[in-house]
Amino acid sequence: MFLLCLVILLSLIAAYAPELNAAPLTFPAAAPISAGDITYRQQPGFTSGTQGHKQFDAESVLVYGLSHNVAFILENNLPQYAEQTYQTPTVHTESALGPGDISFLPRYTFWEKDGIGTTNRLSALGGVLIPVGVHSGSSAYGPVPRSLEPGAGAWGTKDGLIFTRQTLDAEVDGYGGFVHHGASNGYQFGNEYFADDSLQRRIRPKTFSQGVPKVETYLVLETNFLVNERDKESPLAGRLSTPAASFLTDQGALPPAPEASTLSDAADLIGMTPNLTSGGTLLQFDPGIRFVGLNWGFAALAEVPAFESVNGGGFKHNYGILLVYRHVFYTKHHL
Amino acid sequence: MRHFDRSTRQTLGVVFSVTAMAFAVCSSPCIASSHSPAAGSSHVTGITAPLNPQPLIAPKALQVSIEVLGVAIPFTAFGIIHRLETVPGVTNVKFDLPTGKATLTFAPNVKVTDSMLRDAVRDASYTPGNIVWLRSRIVTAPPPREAQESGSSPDKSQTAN
Repeated sequence: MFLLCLVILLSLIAAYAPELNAAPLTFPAAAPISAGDITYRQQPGFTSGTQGHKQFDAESVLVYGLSHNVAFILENNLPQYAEQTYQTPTVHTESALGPGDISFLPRYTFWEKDGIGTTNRLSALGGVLIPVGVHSGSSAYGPVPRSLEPGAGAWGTKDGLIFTRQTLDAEVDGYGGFVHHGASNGYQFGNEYFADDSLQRRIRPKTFSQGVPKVETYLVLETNFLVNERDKESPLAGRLSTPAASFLTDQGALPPAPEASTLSDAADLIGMTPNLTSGGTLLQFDPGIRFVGLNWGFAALAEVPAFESVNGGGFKHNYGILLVYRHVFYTKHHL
Repeated sequence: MRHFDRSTRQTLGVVFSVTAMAFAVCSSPCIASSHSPAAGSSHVTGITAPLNPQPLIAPKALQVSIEVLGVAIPFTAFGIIHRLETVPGVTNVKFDLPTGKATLTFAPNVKVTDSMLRDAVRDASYTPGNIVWLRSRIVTAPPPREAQESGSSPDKSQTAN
């Protein structure tokens, strides 16, 4: 009963508190967390893109060590603000503000190999996306485009595998997985396939012979690779959740009709029309610097797109900035 | 390959099981010869019960070094330090990151076992390694007056540096 209350409390805290991030700066890790420990991370970030796209996130993450190999991860964007300039019916700017959805992701470490000053861990992560975020705003031009909204409006799942290797001088992390979004109110965000990597190298102190350094400094380089399928929307809902139907291509022509290359694609399209200006592929590099103490950490990261392909006339990323702070709390309550 | 009949297999199974159980009992740390009063070893692997029928008197503080595998950064050292501090009787914990060794100091009159230390390390999500007791000083009580009058002397073999 206590654990159930704790999970609910952590969910409420995560819903109304800034988010924090795990050991790598843009994705969780399989790094060890002691039973009873709580890691709290706060990560405000800013993203700039084409078409006047600006987005501010304050992501929060709570990681709780339920046992020596099971951890609970709660993630939430609170708040998230996004704005973008659209061309139809007239040039105007749409915006959305509010909390995002909550991700509840249990993590199970099923393989580990420890040595003196080293650890190698492999974890499986699988959980749900809880649709508590704002997703049905409106403006003078009609419904706010769903791509700007903080929330997906529907339940989803997130599954992945994480590998972490820590040594006294460096850390390597890898994370790959899949996100599936359900449909809600005639709209469904496209599935996501991602692969992230992180490499961190200690630069200060250069060497140490004993004890535990009060502060360590790391150089960080992360990569994020994302394939985002097209969103789908139902014309039966009678609303244009994004400017897709009224969006004109650069040449002023109407977007082409969707194609169904297989029978399964045709079945998916029944009642749901792909949003032609959604989805794409993104590869970005994230150089940064990180400071680590005994129970705290601080990092700053830049997000630089290296390759991006977007469908239709969707916006492209220009750059992003992340600041990360985390803190560890200790409780005696665990399995 | 020679095939055994059913009765032979059953007999061999019983013999093997009894042998395995006897081996397990004989190798139990609870009755290890190093705990024998006559051993006089300066390293003990754990104190689960008084080594001598006579009560212990104000033993000096104990200190133990335990190897912890898997700790690589200060952030994760926090968890193991906190966890070892919860072991009953611990007054101080020091951790050395390059060697992965935690040095624990215990208050006097504390009973602590190796398994308690290993469980604390596993609870912290790490792997326990070697355990070495660095300092223990167990002083036995003086013999009863009757024993003194009869000329017997106290057993000093339990005193260790």
